[in-house]
Amino acid sequence: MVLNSWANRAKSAMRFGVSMGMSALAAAAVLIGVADAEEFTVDVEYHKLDNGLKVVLSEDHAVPTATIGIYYGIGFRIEPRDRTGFAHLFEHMMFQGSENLGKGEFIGLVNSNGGVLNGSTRFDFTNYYEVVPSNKTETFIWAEADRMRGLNISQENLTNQQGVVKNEVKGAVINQPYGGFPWLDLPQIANENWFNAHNFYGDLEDLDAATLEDVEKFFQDFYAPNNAVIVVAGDIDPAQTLAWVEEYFADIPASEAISFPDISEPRQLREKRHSKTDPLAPRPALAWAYHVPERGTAEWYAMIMINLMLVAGDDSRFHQSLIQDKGYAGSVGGGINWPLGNAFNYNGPMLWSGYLIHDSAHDPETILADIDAIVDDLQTNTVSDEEFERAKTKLRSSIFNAFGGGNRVGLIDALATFALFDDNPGRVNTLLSEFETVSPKLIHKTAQEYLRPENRTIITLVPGADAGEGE
Amino acid sequence: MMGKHFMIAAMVLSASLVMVPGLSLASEDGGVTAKQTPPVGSAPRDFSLPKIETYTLKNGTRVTLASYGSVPKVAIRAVTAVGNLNDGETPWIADLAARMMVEGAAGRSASEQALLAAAMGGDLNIGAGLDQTIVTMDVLSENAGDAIGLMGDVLQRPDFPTSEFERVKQNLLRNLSVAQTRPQSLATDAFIGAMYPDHPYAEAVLPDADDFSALTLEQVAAFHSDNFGAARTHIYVVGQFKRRAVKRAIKESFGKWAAGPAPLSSPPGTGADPQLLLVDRPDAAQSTVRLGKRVPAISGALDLSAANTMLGGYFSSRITRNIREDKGFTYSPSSGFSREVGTAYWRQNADITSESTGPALTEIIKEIRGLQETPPPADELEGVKNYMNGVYVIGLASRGGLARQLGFVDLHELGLGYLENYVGVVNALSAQDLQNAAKEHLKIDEMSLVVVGDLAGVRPQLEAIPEFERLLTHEPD
Repeated sequence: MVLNSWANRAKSAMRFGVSMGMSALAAAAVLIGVADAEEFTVDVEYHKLDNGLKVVLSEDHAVPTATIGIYYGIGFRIEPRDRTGFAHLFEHMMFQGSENLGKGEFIGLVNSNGGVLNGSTRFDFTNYYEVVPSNKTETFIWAEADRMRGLNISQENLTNQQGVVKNEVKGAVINQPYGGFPWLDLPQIANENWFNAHNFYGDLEDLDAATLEDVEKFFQDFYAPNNAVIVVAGDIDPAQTLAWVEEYFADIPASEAISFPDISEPRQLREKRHSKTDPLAPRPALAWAYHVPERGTAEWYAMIMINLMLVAGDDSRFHQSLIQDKGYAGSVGGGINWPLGNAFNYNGPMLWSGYLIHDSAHDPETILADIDAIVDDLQTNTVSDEEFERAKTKLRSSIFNAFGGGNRVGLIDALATFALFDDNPGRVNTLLSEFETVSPKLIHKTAQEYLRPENRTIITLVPGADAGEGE
Repeated sequence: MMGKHFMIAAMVLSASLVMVPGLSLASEDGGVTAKQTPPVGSAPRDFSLPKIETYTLKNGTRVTLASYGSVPKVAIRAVTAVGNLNDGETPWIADLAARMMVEGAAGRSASEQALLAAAMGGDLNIGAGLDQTIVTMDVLSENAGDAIGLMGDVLQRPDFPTSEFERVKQNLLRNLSVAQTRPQSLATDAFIGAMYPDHPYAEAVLPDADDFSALTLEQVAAFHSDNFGAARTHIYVVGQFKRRAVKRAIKESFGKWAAGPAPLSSPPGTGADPQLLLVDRPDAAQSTVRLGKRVPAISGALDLSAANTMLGGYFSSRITRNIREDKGFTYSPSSGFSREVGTAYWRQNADITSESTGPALTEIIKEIRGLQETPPPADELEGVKNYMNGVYVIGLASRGGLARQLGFVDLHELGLGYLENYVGVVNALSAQDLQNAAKEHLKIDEMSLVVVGDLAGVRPQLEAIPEFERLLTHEPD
């Protein structure tokens, strides 16, 4: 299955969750820019409380559930230098106890009311959400407010979660062939600014070094209403829901000075190459990444279209050439902000990346030459109308999936990040039309500027000496 | 249902930082000041299934339609009762056949198919499982008929081009070689071998690479023509679509297909003696564990499902609270069922820090015994029921989810009543029902154990657990 991550909701790990997909958006209406196609629109209400908390409400009654999400504007880029992995460890702490709910009681409250939940840490935000029966909406607005108000964490609980997170890292990276490849490796090589270039999962020693004081300080620094948005979507009465949000959140004080470091990246002037040995991997692998245009620029929209044409789906050029014609691999994966998010839910420097696992019989240089040929073609020739239209169709279909999912997780992600980063959650209804400015000519120009070899990072993964152990 | 495929992309992805935290139940805090209690909310609202229309074409193709959702997309799912069950002496031939079926059909190349599917707003996906081969497309509503036509070609008229065969085979061999280095697939391979010995299911996770390499295109083509047919096929269409046009497309695309054979009935025998299987990965940081046993096939009774939920089947389960939230031994323990036609097994999974392997297993056994010995308290039971009912609704909230659930009900011949009555059956469960289910179906001394890890460190830990002592002495080393 090809991972089409750019407009798709992130495939977060809801360990005991349910597979959820699709259904319900209330009205049918207009998405500009798509001729004679069926369309839909999302109900969006946007408010701000006096303490700076952004509030987004979206009413639809297709299924009697509500999805409540809180997104804090703090991601793993921004964590203390001697505490790699701390933003993610902190995310775990948000489940370890607050003023009125002891350790584990938050999750118990969700589960015993028939809901599922998750939290995740990304480049530029940390999110927490619950999908619950809609008659319990007030319960979880209260519960989210309770933990925004303050945490109550013991050393014992911190130690426990250090153990859990270290097990997470062991399972995902250390004890796994291709662990962390390439998603954890590429930013560390491609970026120059430490905030973009450190190990986001964290070194085990750094995770061990975290203290209760670190937890307290991080909470004070970043977990404030004026650095957050609450989204409530689904089977709700917006007026009543807003009243509950005001009741439970309005008296949480704003933080006076939330400051963020400079996360900008210098322009890359030379191609970077890196080789990684993986003792657990049986076959070599190759990954590549380019810095993408700044979010919101005309070239950025074009880059999203380039991703659709080059790597997303079996019809993409990379798939057709590298997989179907040359047979280097069974699949090629990649995207913008991949695999931790999509092309929209970040706010800073970002990579467009891809990778494949191939056989030793194929020299990575040969594969790179084929990638170069595809890129050269895009830089030299104008894309055909057919290919361009197909990419737009894929865009539309993906956005329907992302915003129209039955559990509304993709929808609240878009509403929350558009509120946080653009102060405009209504973008969910104008997003497609924003792509009208992209022309084949702009794609041409963007490919020339951003798919330069000097803007690229390559990682070759070499199987280690004791690979191929089998059973 | 178990995932038997080891897609590389999924494997790397599952690592993401996008991770779940903490767990549940509480309370070593001996609260001094009075705490607020959460607002309880209002009365629950009803959820009802959409209207489900089912009919059968003259050749035996079954069709299920459900108009659902308000997004202009449609999920189409063609399920054929052909899987590793039908592999016989040639493991993974079902997988190879499935992959070859999308390499070109009715004169169209794979590339042409991919371009067509993308222009409809979807991908053409195919996968072979233990019991079924499933072709899916999720497309913009206006393209429903075209998608059905494309899927009909893939199922009935694959070209099996010689030019693509070696490449496709090499792709599966590459997947296999990667799976052979993943502790989770090594553990599942060993465990399914213990559950279904002498049955094709047992070879379906990690087949022998040399045997697989020897498969020919002629064998694959014969496998297709011997196994695929209308009488084994069920098409589900869920989402927004024009009903009359979809029915016409199905009749045109599937109506002339030969009926072919009825589904193969060949369930595994009752199972072998409990086994302890150890797979050595020197210096591994974690032990990958599977502990469990065969259980009866799913029925409308949900007592064992509820017992599973309570033990290890959700965030707030007893085992997860214990070995994750209390002890910090592991990140993502979980229990659940692998359900095949006519049978099933239950197992607890966990990736445990190596030095805590024995203590974690001891706790898992303690939790299972605990439910067997004492009926669960009312509030915990109520929470499990609410969770099962809530997740039932959430699982049906999407067109893909509804299509999968309808397929699940048909595969296990449960009838729509299973879905219609689910909430009522759950609500009627008693504490004794869960206790009895655990007693009857989760007997510790009938369980098998697989550990993939650093055996030098792990074996002494296992020797200290009385339940595994007997098995250890029989373990062929």
